[in-house]
Amino acid sequence: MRPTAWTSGAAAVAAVLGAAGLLFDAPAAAGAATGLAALLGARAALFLARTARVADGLAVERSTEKGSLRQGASEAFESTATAPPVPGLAVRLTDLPPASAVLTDGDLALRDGRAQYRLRFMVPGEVSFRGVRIDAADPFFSATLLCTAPPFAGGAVTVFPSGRARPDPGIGRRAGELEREQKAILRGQGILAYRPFRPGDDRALVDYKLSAKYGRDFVREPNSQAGNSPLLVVDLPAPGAPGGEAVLSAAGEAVEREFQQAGRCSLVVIAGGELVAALDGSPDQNELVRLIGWRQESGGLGALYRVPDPVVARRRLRGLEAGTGAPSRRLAAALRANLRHAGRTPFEEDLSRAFAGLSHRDVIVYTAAAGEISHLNLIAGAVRRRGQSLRLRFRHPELGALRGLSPDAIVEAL
Amino acid sequence: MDAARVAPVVAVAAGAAAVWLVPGLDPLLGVLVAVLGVVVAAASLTGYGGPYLVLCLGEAFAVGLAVATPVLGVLAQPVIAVLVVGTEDRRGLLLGAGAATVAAGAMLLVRNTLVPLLVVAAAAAVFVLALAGLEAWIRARFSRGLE
Repeated sequence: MRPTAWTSGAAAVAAVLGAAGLLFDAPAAAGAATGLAALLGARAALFLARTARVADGLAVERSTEKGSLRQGASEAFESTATAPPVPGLAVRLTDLPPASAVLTDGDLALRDGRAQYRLRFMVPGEVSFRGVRIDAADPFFSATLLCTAPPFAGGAVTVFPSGRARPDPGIGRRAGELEREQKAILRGQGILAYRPFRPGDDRALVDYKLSAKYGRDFVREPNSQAGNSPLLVVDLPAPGAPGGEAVLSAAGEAVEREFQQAGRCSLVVIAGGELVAALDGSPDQNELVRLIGWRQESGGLGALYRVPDPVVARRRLRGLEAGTGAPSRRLAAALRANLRHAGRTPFEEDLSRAFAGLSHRDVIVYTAAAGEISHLNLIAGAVRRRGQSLRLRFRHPELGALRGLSPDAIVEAL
Repeated sequence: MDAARVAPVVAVAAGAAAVWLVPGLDPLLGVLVAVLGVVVAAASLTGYGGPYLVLCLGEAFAVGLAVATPVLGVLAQPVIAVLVVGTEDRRGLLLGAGAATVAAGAMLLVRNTLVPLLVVAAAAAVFVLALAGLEAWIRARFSRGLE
């Protein structure tokens, strides 16, 4: 519950009157201050009671025109909500779609109790709407209430996989030359949108004019240059990994944006230390969405273990060589031998082959990796050798997990 | 004219006039209250200076009335409530006016400042904590954990 400027001003007047009453021993001023404070307190309690009444009487129904939902397909939904009218309270309702769904058309705000929109589900399986958001306001207070209990979320919906599962994920052998239908016109880089600053964002993207105007930092989200869109890399999370759905949803949104701007998208899909697929400038959005939702059949795919970035390893070696103890010297010798004889892992070979045919300036990786991040270091190495820039987008980047991360990567929080 | 806008103006005028009926009134205080009453009424009708100016002038008027006699100070609280809340939300206005009148009456009844103000400050802190707890309970009631 947040007070409005009017409430804050009235509270300040009450405080000044109270102070004057105390300083000058004036019961009249103290009485006025007490009366004003009691009025504001009564309005606060009334606001809470009214908001709770709206939420108590809220009923939501959702329907879709199709009986079965397919992964990757854009499906139409209609939401209707009824809430008891409460005089003196302005209420705005917004539907909350499933975390793994991307809004492709329409508006989630319920106007006159109805909303029509289209969603694209990125992940197959049972998914549920998250509920309804209530934004309530009166002249004194405002509040946002997330109604996510089962009566507001509704039942689960089943999203069927798109097509058949790939019998052999294999390693990426689909990189290569692709004949384009038309010449790409370089339009230069523009601004896609502005959004509030989040920890991990590149400070160079802060728009100081907008930040000064609103008193908080905003960053520019540049759109991609025509003919030089970023290469999207999706690190498929293990089933049940924390933040996995959010990462896939963000990756799906990025794919959707690329198709809206350029009509095609370049995508590399990895699962830990194994390359699943690499597609350059694919015009088939459904194929890309299906790849993002691909699930490994059993167990985990090949995982790398503590393959450090050579730059990080050399920095550690310098620290060890400056040490005086015997353990430091032994460890330095072992590290030196590793660096001298370091070969390329199969994953690095696959990455080199996949990246060889791709001419992108920027590489953006969506990952929920925590703990073992060697595969991200190998991607950083491959990107560095090609002179590209790398951005890693984590759900919740933890300092401990990023300690061994390559310094060439820019870490951003989703 | 809109009756809802005229009513507080009439109340202010009545209060300013009633001050002169207080026995032993200091004429200077009477003039001050009358001037404040005129200014509050004008500011309320014209909207000049915005709501904050109207509120501050209204409070000064109420303090002047209370100095003349506590009863008038208490009776001025509903007028203050109209200035603060407005007349559209009748239920909110009644609740706010009632709370303000009772609280101001209690304070003026005591006729002391230090201890009652300390009590009011402590009660306000407890009230804010109770509201925060109530809000948390309402949120928990209507939500489950989001990922």
